[in-house]
Amino acid sequence: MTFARIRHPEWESRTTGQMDYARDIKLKDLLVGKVLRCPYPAARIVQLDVEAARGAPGVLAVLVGTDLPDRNYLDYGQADRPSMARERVVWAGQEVAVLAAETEEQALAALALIRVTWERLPHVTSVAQALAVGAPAVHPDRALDNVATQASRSFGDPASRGAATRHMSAAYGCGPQHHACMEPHSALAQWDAANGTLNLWTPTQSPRNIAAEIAQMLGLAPAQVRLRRSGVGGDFGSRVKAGDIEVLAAHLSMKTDRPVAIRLSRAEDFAYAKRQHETWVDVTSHYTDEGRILFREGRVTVDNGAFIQGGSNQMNYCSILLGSHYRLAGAQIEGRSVYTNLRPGGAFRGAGGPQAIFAIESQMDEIAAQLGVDPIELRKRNLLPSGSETITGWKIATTAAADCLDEVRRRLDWDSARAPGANPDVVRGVGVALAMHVSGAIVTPATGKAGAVIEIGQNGGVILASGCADPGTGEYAVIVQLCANVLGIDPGDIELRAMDTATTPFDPGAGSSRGTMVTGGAILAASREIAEELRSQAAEMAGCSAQDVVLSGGSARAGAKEFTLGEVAAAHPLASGGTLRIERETAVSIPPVPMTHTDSGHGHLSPAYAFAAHGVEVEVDRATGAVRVLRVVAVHDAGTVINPVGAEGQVVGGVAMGLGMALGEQLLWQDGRPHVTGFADYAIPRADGVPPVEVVFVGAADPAGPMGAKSISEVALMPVAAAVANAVANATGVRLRDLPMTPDKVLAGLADRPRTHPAPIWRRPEHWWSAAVRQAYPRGLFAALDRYGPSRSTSKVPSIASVERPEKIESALALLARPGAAPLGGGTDLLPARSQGLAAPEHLVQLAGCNDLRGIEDRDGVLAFGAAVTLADAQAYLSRATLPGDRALAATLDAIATPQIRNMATLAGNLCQQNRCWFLRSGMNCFKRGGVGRPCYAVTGDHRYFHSVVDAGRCQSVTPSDLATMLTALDAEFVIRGPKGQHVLSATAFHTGPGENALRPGEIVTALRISAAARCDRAAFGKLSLSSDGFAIVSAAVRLRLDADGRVQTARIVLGGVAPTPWRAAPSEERLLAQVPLETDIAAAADAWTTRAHPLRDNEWKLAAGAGLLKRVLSQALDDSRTVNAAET
Amino acid sequence: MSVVTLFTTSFRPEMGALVLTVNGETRQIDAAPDAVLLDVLRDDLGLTGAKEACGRGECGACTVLVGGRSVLSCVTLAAVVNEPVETVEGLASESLQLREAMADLGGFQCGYCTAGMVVRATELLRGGLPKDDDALAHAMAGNLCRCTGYRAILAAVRRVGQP
Repeated sequence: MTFARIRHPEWESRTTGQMDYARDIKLKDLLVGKVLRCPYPAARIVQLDVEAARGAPGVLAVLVGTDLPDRNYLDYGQADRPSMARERVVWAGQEVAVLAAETEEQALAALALIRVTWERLPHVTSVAQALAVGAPAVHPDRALDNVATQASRSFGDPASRGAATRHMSAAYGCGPQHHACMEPHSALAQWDAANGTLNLWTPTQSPRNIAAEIAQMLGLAPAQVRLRRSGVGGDFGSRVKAGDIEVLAAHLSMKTDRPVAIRLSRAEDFAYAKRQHETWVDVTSHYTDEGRILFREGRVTVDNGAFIQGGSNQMNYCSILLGSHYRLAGAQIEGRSVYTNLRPGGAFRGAGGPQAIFAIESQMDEIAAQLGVDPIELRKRNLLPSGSETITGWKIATTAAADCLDEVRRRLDWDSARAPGANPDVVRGVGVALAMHVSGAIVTPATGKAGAVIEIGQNGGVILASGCADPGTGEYAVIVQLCANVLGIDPGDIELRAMDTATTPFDPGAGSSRGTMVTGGAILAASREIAEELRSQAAEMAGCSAQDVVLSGGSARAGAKEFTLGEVAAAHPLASGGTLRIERETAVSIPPVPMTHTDSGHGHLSPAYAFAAHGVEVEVDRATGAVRVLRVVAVHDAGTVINPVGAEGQVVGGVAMGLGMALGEQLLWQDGRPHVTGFADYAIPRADGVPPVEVVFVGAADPAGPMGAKSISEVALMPVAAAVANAVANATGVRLRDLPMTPDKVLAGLADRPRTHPAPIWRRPEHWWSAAVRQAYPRGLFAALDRYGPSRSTSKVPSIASVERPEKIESALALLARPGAAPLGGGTDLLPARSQGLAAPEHLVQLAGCNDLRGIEDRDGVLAFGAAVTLADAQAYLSRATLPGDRALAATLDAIATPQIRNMATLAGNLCQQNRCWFLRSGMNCFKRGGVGRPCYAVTGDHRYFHSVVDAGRCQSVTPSDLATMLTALDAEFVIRGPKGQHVLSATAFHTGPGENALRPGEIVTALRISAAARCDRAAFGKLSLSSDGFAIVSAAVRLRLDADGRVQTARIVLGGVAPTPWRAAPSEERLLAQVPLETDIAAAADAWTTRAHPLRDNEWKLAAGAGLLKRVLSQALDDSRTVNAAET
Repeated sequence: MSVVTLFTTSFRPEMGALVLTVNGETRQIDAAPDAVLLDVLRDDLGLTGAKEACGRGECGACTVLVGGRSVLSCVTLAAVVNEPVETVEGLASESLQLREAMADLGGFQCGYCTAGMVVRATELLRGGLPKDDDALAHAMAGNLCRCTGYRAILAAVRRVGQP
């Protein structure tokens, strides 16, 4: 049976901006709620004084932990999490007070008046720390060893291990992703005292979970909490269970009798809303010489964070899947979830399944390599046949896993040799992985049943009511298609009532991929029931038997007679007021299998199991470590596909999320403080980072699923990371077991990696002081500066009093002479920097109004850009450039940020942007922000990508402007005007520090000039970044002039991302001068600069990556004057 | 080239209102000097199609057209906008074919990024799409999506862009 491709029932409102999401909803008398959070990963609240805040203007309520009922969230049953800290804080960001005020300004002002005295406590900020002997306990009253939950599971026959002749062990790690839903989290609560009802608008895919949990926390009856319908901008598990802010908003509303909204910013969402649990899987496979996997041993370790939340569920499902995948004879799986003083995790797409699959499927390839067996063939030797049962008790009624693998082999051209890349440094490979997953894990009776209401009115209108929500899963389309298919009507004719817990029947919500199986199953059952009633009524009206009645086209046809559905419905004896209505609750046919942190979870966990094989082709740049996925073939056994448009979308979306998991996404903390707080730091794939994905559906209808359907949404994520890791191994021989596979890890794994080392420290006296300080940092210096280092006082960022848009430079200069005045270009750095406390202008002078600053002139060979020319306009001007220098500049511009940024940002603004150190930008009080008494967080923090490897001083950051790097190579000049007149500064002299420049107060850049000679020289630019819009990890801009004999007469080699300012790689230039550059010269020059380097503890890899990139860029500059973009991950 | 309209050359609070032309309608709005265009559109004009998904110019969900060019309204000061603004609401009819193609091909799921996608794609369609598919993907790289994996969005834009 094939279902038609239909448009999602909400397509119009979702594509026109008409859909109201929770954050869009405006209520009268709405109050703004704000949360006070503890900045330390562990602390005791010694004193908490909210009196001043209570009395502040516009404030209507301030609540602290002890004001709220002493109850814990149930979460997954362990109930260890309070709504706010009462005496002890256990993660940096934990809520300690919450208030409601009339406006956001008033709320923030009042928040600043809350006085807290903290006693900082010992803490652990990683699982390794938490498990170390003598580690401080996150919850001394609950787990002295920080192990929150543990389970030991035995499946199948323990003796089967002995029958194996070989074994292989490895440890696999999956870093913490973040759901990063496009809609950041929010909660709007409105207490209706008259009716004793709490109305709640909050994005969620499981409305009743949220409503029940909030009711429990507030001491209300479940029916007293009404979760209202809204659009939901993504979930992926982050909103399956209650977060932190819903209860707080509710309490504030009950206290003030006004609606209260707490709306997290993106930075707050990354830092304070749920995330994925970091998970390690140690696995040992015991197998025969033919590659039959007989026994699997596994150990799963999950980082809960400071409360269990989703941690034990992750550990449980990961453990059980480790025992289920493939036709094992036995398995022994240990699992534990560990407390750390970090933001607790929560359910994330796949709930531990992706991590189990990453481990199993990586190891399958390692086994295949050892035995000399083709990886697809090895898997086929181990498949579970249809009709079999796993040792964990999963009854596999249908499986097309073999077909999935065969399709990957065929469509990926698996057996052909990979075409060698144009460049021997760039290699290609293919990899495959097979996943399996539940179609709804039925662990309690409630997770296996759902209600449906169908009403047919006498005008033929059909109303379908379901308690489900649709955060992008396509659930609404699935249920509408099922109902329409049975009733023989157009899906567009169904009016859908959904989500609102007061007006829709019970639904367990999405989770463990139960949407189609459970909710869809219930809608199907109700649709069939009402269809049967319609058929027997029509049969009576037509005088025939019910079997002869066909429902189609909105009518009931019985032989020659035809009635509209409305006529039949109205005539039915059960109809009331002309409307026929049925309400049914339907449960799946299998009993629940409890899955808790004990030796549980044995049994037939789901009515049906989905399978998917993903094959990927990758290209690895061995010079920089960058991995690019060229194409994906995703073959799914999802049984019957009910909603083809949605199902394909789930697969491609899962692939994209899997690419992020595999290659770049990771949350990071510096001693428990989050510093990945925006999309510039958190590399989710962009439109040019997802390759073509071929989606194929195979397999037969499954007897258990509605119309034969099985699940799709989570299994689509699960094989991706292993497929990529296997392809990388195929291409390079490097086996990576630690996600994400960022370029540093790829390079580290290459056996023949370039050996670029700095000269020994004793040969670099200019670095001795810095080396000594860096040694002292982890030995107490950093801790002392962090804790006690005096800070220059940071006054509040003032409001902006005026924005001027002068038309003449003279007016601009006069306006800029006022105290507190600053120039404004596109605003794309100034405004975010201001909100991050890094800029405090009172008067803005927007320079785009000055026509003198917006011109582009090519006169006497000199190319001059006005300072306020946008990057896009410069790019457009250069789009037909023929001179190599111009083309290199054009390519540089195209590599900067995104099209929208380029539309807005000015050339001078780009040059003047502040540095992008993620410690600085996330608010840490570092040297740059707070002065000489403060530490640099990058020394001991994560500095792998965006910090200096050469000549850093107190600040380890770099100048982020790619334009600066290229203009330095072009020996550009900047015309500067100020109160004292005009002067010219070379690009080289412009930057004085990371994102710092030589402009004096009141001065602006008015023009950029590139000489005729420079424009004619051979030039190229290349960049390595984590995503297409990202700042450079390392970049290279080169300009070479050859004389008549082909010898290098002039060389400018400038590296970005390696030093505080764009850095002239003088040793590399010297190596090329007077040479006719052969490949050996280019290679030697590319390495030459690294002897001068002074890398931090973990970024020495940038020397090799930079050398590799530079070699490529030099070759390109010499080959043809086309510029190159290094393959980004 | 964009049309430069000279309503105001400076904005000070004591001078009062901001004047903006949005979706063809000229409106006078009381706003603080540091008000960003996104907040003015959403809060003062009730045009909630453009979304705040990052507030820092990193995700594209707030994309609107100013003078026909895609800009990030969350980092655009309303006070310096002196060209006509078009939002997803105003583009509903011009973008109908695109939106139908997105619906037919799966070019949206949760819908939160969709307004920004539609606006940016409309700008591209007006000017003519790049011929190369990689170039089209690069041209849409300013709009993040967490749900779809982008391929269906690009296919929808391509479908409408063919003559």
